[in-house]
Amino acid sequence: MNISTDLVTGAAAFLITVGIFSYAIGDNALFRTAAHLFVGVSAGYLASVAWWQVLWPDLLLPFLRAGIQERAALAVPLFGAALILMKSSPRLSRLGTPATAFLAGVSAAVVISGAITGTLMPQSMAAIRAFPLTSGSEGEGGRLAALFQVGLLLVGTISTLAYFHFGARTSVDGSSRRPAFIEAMAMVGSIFIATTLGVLFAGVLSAAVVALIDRIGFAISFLTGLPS
Amino acid sequence: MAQMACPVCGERNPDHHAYCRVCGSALHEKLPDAPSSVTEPAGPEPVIPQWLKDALAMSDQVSGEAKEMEGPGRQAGPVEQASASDRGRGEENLDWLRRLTQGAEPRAGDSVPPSPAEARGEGQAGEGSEAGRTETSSDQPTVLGKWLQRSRQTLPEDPASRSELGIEDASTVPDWIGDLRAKGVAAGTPESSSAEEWRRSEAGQAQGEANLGAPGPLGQDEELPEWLVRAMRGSEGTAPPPQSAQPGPASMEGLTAGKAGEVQESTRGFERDEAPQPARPLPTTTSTIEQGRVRREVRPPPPQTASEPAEDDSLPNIATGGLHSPEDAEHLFIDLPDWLSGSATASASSLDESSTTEPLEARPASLPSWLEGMRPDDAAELRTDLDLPTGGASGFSARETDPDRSSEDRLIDLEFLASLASGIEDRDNFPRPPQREAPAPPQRSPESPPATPVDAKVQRTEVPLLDQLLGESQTAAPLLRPRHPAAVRPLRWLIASALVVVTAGMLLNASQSPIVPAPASEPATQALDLLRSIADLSPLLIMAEYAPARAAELEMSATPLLQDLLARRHPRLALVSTSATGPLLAERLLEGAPAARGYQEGIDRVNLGYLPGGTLGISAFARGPLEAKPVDLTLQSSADAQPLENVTALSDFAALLLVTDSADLARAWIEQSTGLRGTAVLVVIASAQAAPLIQPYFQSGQIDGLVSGMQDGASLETRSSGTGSAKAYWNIYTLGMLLSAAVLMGAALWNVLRALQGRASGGAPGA
Repeated sequence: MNISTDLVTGAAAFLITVGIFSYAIGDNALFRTAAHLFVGVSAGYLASVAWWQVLWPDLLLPFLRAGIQERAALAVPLFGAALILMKSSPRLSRLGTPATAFLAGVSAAVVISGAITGTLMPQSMAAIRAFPLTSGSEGEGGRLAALFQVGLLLVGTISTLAYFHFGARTSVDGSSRRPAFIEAMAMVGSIFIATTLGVLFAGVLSAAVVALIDRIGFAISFLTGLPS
Repeated sequence: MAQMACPVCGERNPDHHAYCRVCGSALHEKLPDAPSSVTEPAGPEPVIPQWLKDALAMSDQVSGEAKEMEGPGRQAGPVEQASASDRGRGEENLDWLRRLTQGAEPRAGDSVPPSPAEARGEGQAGEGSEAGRTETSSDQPTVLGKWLQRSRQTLPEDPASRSELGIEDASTVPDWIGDLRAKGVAAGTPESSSAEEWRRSEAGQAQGEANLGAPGPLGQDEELPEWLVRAMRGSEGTAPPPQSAQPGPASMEGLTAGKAGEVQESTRGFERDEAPQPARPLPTTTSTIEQGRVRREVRPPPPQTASEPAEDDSLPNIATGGLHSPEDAEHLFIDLPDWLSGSATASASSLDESSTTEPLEARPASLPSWLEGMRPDDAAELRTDLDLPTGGASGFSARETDPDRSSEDRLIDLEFLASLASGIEDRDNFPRPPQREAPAPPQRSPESPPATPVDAKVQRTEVPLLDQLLGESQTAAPLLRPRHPAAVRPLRWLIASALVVVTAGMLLNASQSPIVPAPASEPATQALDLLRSIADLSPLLIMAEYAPARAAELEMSATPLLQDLLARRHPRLALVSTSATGPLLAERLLEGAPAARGYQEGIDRVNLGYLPGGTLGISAFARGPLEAKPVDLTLQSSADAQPLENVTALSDFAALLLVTDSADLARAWIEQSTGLRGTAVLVVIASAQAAPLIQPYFQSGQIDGLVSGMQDGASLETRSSGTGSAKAYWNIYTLGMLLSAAVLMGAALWNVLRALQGRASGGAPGA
């Protein structure tokens, strides 16, 4: 009997899919087996990726093939990697602190600079550019629509920022409350935030429904394809 | 007239003078250092301290020459012994002390040296000196040496003669003085080979006796121990008490100078009558009893009278290095620099000032401006916050006994006192610092920074709140358990079964849905148009940044666009991902596009594989793709791959196709590639859950197109007339979303009805 590879992999995928779906009736051994299998395979796959796609081609192979100067240059990251490995030992963990600190510092610098030049400034300028009502306002209805859109953008932006304003004053009874106008704007901002979260949840639900359709379609296709 | 030279100063004196008129030294014979008196009764051998044993041992080892030179000195203490040793004179003979302590007669064969008392008694008797005096305990004659007995025999018996000689009658001496004298013998008389010192001590004796003659009133010391009573009596005197210690050697004087107050305190009650000195008027300590507690008050010394010597010899000062004459001091500092001499003088003056302990309400210390400025405020704040009385410890005592005070207030006071006590180590052993006046006005200078007082009361009220917040943050919130789990489980099964049955039924039916997808959104349409505009065979970079769980949605969204692009422009593809599973998912994505099935690895497409480093890796790849990924997934050089021909930077790609389900990864790619993309088109194919967060980047023009979710995929598939699963699944997707919305709405409605029912019944909402 000749068993094809597609049949084996398809059967494994089908069983694992059914095992995951079995969580609908509660936690059971089939679901746990599928979950543990996924975790184990993922860990092994990540280790192989780290070796075959990072350490060996980017560090060790050049170190072996390169000349003295290149080796000297590669010795620095190799030494840094060795120091980071010290983090696994409580006694030697302090040795890995400098390399870790270097990575953290560089990462923070890259992220912050990227956020400023790639998000903060462009988004602020985009919000400012949306306010001239001349563009796209054709006719009275167009102007009103543009005015409504810009006004909604303005109110949404300010009220959302006000929601995250945590400056408060101590009242007579000792409780800390924000100023009244900030409180009112924050209440409006909470509506925008709730709407955004609702949209995100709808996206999650949409993605889940698509995944459900894909998995059920796979199962049906596997079962219907068995005779063939 | 015959004259005699002073053996000490060399001054010529008339022959009939017994003492030098200049220095007061004895002219006819070398007077002994100090008289000795015995008060300790004979008894068992006392326990001799180690230092005394050592001294005795050293004395035994003295050579015969030293024995001949040994005088009648006696050892009074380690300090004196050390001083004598420092001088190196070897004049001590401790045998007499040993005999005294043993209560035995001198050893046979030992020559009885002329005792100081004997010599002095004879001399005084002969010369009528006013200072010679020997106080002995008449009831303990056996312990006296022969020389002492002889000295007593030489003393006149009649009171008149004794008074003429300056010797007090035992009957006229109060008992307490007798006790003091008796005790003072225990401290010993410092040995002094200098006749001048001895003479000086004798000169101050008379005044000391006068001071001791009038004990102060004592009314509250009945319950105190005897030694304390004597000490209090000595301190109660209005006149300055006699200096207990005879001017000793330099080392002793130095110690005395440094611890003047302590010596005064510690030796009170052990003063000897042999060597009273015209002491510097030291502050007196008055001890009174209040509510069972001994309260001590330090009084400033009375002003010196004109009759008192201006220069106090009894209290040596550091400026003179413990020397007794200004000449010695000049000789000592003749080789010292000016600054050192000046500092020594200054320290001497300051020491003199400090030795006179100031009263509690004294002038404030000289402090820096900033510290001076914040002192009063601190005190005022503390006193205000804690509602402290201004009466110091007595005020605390009164507050503690107040029955109306709460335990919390008492706790505040106790903690305040504890904080003060903890900040001062062994307060009794330290000189009392200058006290500042409590009601002193703020002395903050304009330049001093504002004080930052500790608002203890506010902190005390906020600490519980902070503790509560921390406790709440560290306490895991209990999981909300459904009230009717038996009813929830069937409901869950019902919803799951409905979704599966409807989806499976729609898939098994395989009928084309009459539902037509809505037109593609503007970002999706713009993305399609831009990708169609790229040049043929231009390099295209695909970043697969999504998880396997989102593969179905993203493949449905990206396949129509990718299929249209590959079919029209046949671009050279390069795949990369910062996710470990990304390279494989990218391969799977290409397999879903029929147009990509003719692509050959290394010729039409190259998979660069996993890009490590997260944001750092993205930044590095944006600045140099080939440097960041020098080899592809097959370990071949990326620079040699045909798809990456003429590609050295990110801007060399014709288009960048980002497929992601994470808004963070999309933002990272957008941020790090800003300014580095050049004219390359950036299109993002995002999951429906991440699209709302990526939408602003499209509106700001940072990305050129956005395809979100299955809806845009089905719309692009319909527009491009391509093949794919998006349109086939669109019916099921629509029905599944409708069913999900219905379930959500039904659950919401159910909860609202239950809440209304709960309110109507008056119970808790939802009960």
